[in-house]
Amino acid sequence: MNAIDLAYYPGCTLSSTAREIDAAVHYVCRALDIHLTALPDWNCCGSSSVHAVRPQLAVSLAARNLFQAQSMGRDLMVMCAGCANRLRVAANQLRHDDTSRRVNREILGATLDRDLHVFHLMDLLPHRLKEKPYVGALQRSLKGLRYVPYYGCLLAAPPELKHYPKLHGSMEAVMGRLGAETRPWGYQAKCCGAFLSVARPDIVAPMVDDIMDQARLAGADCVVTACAMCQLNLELRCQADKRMPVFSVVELLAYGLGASAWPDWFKKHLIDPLPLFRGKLSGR
Amino acid sequence: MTDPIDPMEIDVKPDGDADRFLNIVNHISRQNISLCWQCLCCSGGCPFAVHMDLLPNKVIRLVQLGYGRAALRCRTIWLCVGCHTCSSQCPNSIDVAAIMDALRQLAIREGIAAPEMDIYRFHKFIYASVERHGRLNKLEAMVHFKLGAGKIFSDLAPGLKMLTRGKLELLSQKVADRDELGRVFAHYNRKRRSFDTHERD
Ligand code: SF4
Ligand code: SF4
Repeated sequence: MNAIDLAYYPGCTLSSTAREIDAAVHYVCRALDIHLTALPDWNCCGSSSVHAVRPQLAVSLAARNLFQAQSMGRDLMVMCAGCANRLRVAANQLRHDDTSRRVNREILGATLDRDLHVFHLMDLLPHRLKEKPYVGALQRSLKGLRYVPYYGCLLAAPPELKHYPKLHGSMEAVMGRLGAETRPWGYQAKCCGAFLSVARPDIVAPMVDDIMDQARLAGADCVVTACAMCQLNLELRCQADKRMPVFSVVELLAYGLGASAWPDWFKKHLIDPLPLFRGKLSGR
Repeated sequence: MTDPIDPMEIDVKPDGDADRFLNIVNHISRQNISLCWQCLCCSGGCPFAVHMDLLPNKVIRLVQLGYGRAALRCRTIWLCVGCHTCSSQCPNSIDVAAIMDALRQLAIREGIAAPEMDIYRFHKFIYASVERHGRLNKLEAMVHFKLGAGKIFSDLAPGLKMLTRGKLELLSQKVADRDELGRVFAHYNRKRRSFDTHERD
């Protein structure tokens, strides 16, 4: 057993609208000996509207979280694409931008001195599932489930983060281990509409419908996402006749690793996945 | 909602010292906008391009030329969600999304009425919730947003569904070290408050 010790940043979404994903993240990490310790007093990473209207204030908000991870002597793990980008951009600035270093030392009394790595859980999972002790960890299969992987902006990042690994293919790697069938499509990196889902639903609803139409045309029974906001937008904004279950990849992996709480997680979905799930997987 | 800005009414001269505006935007966004060679890779992938009055590359061009007012008045900077589709395509490694962030901050600071008032209000209430608690309380921010936009009954059904499924929190989560959080906001508010220069809606 080679445990990985990481500081964990839950973020505003996983600690409210997507608690079930938070539970699944913890289940998966426990099963794979990834030890998570939550930051003691985390705050919004700035990926909400704060960076949209005060970019440098957002860096300071992210810095406060990064400094906590630094004091714990651990690298940081997040499950949200937006949080990952914000925290990574801030870490970069706090290390290489003299003005940011000075200003944030004044405000928060610390500097970022370690090359603190910000992981997204999907950075770790494909590799972890191939390691010896965990190859046999899967207890249930998703054979028969046909899905499309939907990454949204998880595949996009600012240019200064080019050194971070691309997550393209990571969901297929995990879902492949579970025995599910990937359907090919061209909408993997289409934007889900982000917060315009609330402020301009008239723009986002057709975008979401388009994504769901394409998923159906690709022959999928469901969409698998790696981001709680993508999942919520697809479920919330899609027209009644285009509805199709939307899962988080960690929920499904937790199911495969033997979690018993999955029916409770699925009950929280706005589009009920239980009929599909029971239908496809009955008798297994 | 009235539209305070005619998108066609774009200033055709640079405002004052052209380089000054460019330098400010470069500083806030930590980018080098002069590197842009107008290849349009950014605009080609933008999911909201069809709804914008100026394509993202044109906004960049206006900033290069110092047409500050035109850049700050457009719908584009408000419709941008910061998805980084553009930034990951730019051959010159310009983070276009970061430039949009900087322009939004400047538009608010200059008291320029946002042509996308609902989006402006959305940012305002989310920002306020984070300033108050250190974390985002989605229910509180949404209620304020809906009340402010006069759309109390829109989205009621999905909102209730989210509540009953335990997706919205009635009680706020709060950061424990209020003083430290206060220092962060105070530092940036001392220079110029973000949202009170602009209350003409
Ligand atoms: S992709 Fe980059 S270089 Fe090309 S127009 Fe956009 S910002 Fe300019
Ligand atoms: S970051 Fe903004 S400008 Fe760039 S592609 Fe996304 S919405 Fe368009």
